[in-house]
Amino acid sequence: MIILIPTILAGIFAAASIGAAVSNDAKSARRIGLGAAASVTIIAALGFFLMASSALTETVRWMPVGMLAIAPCVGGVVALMAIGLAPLTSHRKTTFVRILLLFAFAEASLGVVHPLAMVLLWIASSFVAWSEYREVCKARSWHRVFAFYHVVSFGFFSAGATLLWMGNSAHIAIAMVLLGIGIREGILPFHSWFPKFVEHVPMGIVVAFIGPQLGVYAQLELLSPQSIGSYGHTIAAFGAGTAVFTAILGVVQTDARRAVAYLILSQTGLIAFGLESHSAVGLTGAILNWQVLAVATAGFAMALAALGARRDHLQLWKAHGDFSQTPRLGSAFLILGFASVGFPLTLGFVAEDLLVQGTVGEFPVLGLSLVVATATNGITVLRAFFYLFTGSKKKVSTPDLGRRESVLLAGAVTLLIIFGLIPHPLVRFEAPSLADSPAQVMGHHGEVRGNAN
Amino acid sequence: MTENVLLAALLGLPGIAVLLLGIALWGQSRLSEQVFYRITSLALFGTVVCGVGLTILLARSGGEQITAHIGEWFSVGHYEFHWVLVADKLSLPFALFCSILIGLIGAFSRRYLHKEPGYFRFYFLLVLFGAGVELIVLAGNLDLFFIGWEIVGLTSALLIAFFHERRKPVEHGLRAFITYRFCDIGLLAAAVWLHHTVGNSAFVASEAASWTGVPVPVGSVNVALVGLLLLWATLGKSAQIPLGGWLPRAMEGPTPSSAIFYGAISVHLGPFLLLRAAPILEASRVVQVAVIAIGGLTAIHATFVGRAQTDIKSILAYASMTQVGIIFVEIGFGLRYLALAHIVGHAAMRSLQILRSPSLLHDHHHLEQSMGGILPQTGGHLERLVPNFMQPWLYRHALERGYFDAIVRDWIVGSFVRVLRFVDALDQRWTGWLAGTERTSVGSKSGGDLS
Repeated sequence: MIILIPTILAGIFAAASIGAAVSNDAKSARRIGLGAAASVTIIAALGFFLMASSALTETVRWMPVGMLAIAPCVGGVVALMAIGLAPLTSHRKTTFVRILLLFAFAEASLGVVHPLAMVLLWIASSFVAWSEYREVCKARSWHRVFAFYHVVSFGFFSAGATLLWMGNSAHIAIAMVLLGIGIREGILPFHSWFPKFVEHVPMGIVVAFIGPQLGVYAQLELLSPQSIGSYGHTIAAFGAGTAVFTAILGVVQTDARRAVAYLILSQTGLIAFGLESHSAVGLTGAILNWQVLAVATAGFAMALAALGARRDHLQLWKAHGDFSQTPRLGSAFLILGFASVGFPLTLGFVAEDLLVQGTVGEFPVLGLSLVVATATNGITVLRAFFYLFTGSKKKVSTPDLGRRESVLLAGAVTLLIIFGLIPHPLVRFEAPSLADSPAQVMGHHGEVRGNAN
Repeated sequence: MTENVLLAALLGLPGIAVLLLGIALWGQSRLSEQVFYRITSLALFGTVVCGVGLTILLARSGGEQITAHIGEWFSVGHYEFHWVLVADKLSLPFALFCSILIGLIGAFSRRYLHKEPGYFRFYFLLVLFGAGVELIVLAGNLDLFFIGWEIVGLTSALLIAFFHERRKPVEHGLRAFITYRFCDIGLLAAAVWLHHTVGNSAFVASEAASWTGVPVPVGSVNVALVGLLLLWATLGKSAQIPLGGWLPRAMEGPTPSSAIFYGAISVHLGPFLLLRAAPILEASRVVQVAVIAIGGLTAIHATFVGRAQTDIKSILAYASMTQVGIIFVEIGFGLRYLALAHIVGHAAMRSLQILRSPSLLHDHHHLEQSMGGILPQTGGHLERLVPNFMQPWLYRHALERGYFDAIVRDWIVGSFVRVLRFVDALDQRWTGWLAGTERTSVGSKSGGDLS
């Protein structure tokens, strides 16, 4: 069931991408994509409840069942937002086709157990994102930056995964996999491709490419914390460094899309840091952070895209918006932004609290540095809100959210607040097998996944 | 059982009101001003009733405190986050006082903001602020305290920027928020360090004060570290030097919110935190001295600067800062009941002064008519104490607000921002080189709010 459901969901997305490709226009393609995303969300939710009744304490591969069961649902919700909130001014028919393909690859990777299959999906998703990048940046060659980093990334990743598959769990194989993941996730100092990518590529593609966090999943799939061994502290340091450095860089950005890029990078750094924790609390925090990043940051980014479709520019030089014209869009932008950076009473707070509390024992200084990242990210969100939604009295009318946008953003906000207020079921489901001592966590993981199976 | 229900209601009633008003705002329903006002006042009246009920129950029982374990919020392995509320000799008077004051401000604003485009938003933020304050006051551990602290910070920034079509209020709201967040690092780090060293951050009974307080970790370094982190947290909310520059600017918000935040409640949450941290202060001479030094210097600085201001709201802002500085000194010397009384008295008087400030000229004329002549000049006693040769220097110092704003803005934040923009430009030059596009000039961009 765990493997079957993602495969079915990937099939739905793939079929929808074919449907979108033969549709008449972008609007029809979006409708088809929205239908597919809604179907995926419903099926994934049904699968989740079916699995919830059994096997809560089981582990599949080394991950808890709960986490694997929730991931397709999260993918569906992110797809709903990436497709449903994508404005037609910046998203063409082919863009929707590619968004659907990216989600198909993401869902498929949840059902994959073979390292080389993961490599293929990884390459395919990077290629799809790059082809869109190349089309939208015809005049300039920014796509070359993406290509440079990603060719290097999957070079390292595929070599490392192949070595692992061949049963060689030497340090060099693990280092190569980690390097490949680090470049793809934009971990310091390999982050430079990401702000440009967010700046130029349609936001739906950005969300579909980065939201499912294939790199995080690949790390969870291929490497257990024990197998990473001596690299753990180094990765944790790079993760924490990324979280703090990009958070601080995000505050001084003068372009809203770049600010969002740095916000995403900072959250990714937090996840990378938490994944190296040997504590159940820290690991659960990292996994929850991954899901919050997917839903809240996707909503935040898509709200920005919706604003971009209504506005000439999204600069953060000075306040130039009019909140009275777009109160719902502004409110959703603010709430989702704060949810993504761990504001209290949202799911983001639960995730960050678990992450910090679970890691401070093992990495006291690095754990405390996360506090700096969290505080700084909050400033970026409010600064973006103030500069984009307040500060002037517009003479030209700007429409607020339409019905479709309103329902989707309200749904995301509701999810994040409800699970923020009542996180216990989700947390319990996420971490049943991680819930005890670090020794027990280690016991589950055993050796490198490639060898274990 | 009754105590638990009353304590939960004290927090839950504003919470429900936030939910109702939030849904109404999102749905853009055509609710009248009357309905928004009624929901707010009902919630706040309910909290007052619950507060009175709890006071009676506490007095009857003769106990030191009532603790309500509402339940577990979430837990993983050994880590648990509990909703624990505490009504004791510190929190109960404070909670009751805050409910009454916020309720009065709500009643005042009904006419003051009548037909104002942001009327509904104001009431939503006021009741959210009320919920945040009640959470801070009643929190049974530092983690819950932090949640309320964050909510208060956000509502404060949004209310400073209430008149959002003008740039200055927005910039000042952002400045306040940046200061808050910078100082929130102290509170969150203190909570995390307590978890690391003590195992939790639950407030415990202590001999230092007759209310529960922050647990004391083992080791003088840990005690001093937690104490100084908590002191750092208070600098932002209570506008102590060198971070108080946001306070006079915060008066850009509507008068009722200025009164409740910067005259009455928000600005006193720092001293409230220090009162909760009484066991830490008692255990560490370093922290005591730091609290006295910060408070004393702020009081001296603010009283000088306040005398050179030319608008009533700035004068009142610096007067608030002076009094809060003195309250810090009182707490540092262990005069906790005096500090509590000072907080309540100052909050009530200052909020009244701020509420009356738009009618200053009218009040002044009224007084002069009643007196039958020009009012005598007051406040000359300090001038007589300062030697003549120092007066021009002090006046210049006061006009420049002690140069703190300039130092923080131009030297510290400005330099930091310039370095970051330089790094960002280098990064862009690298990607430009990879892409084969034109070069981005390094460090060419400056300005904006943060430089």
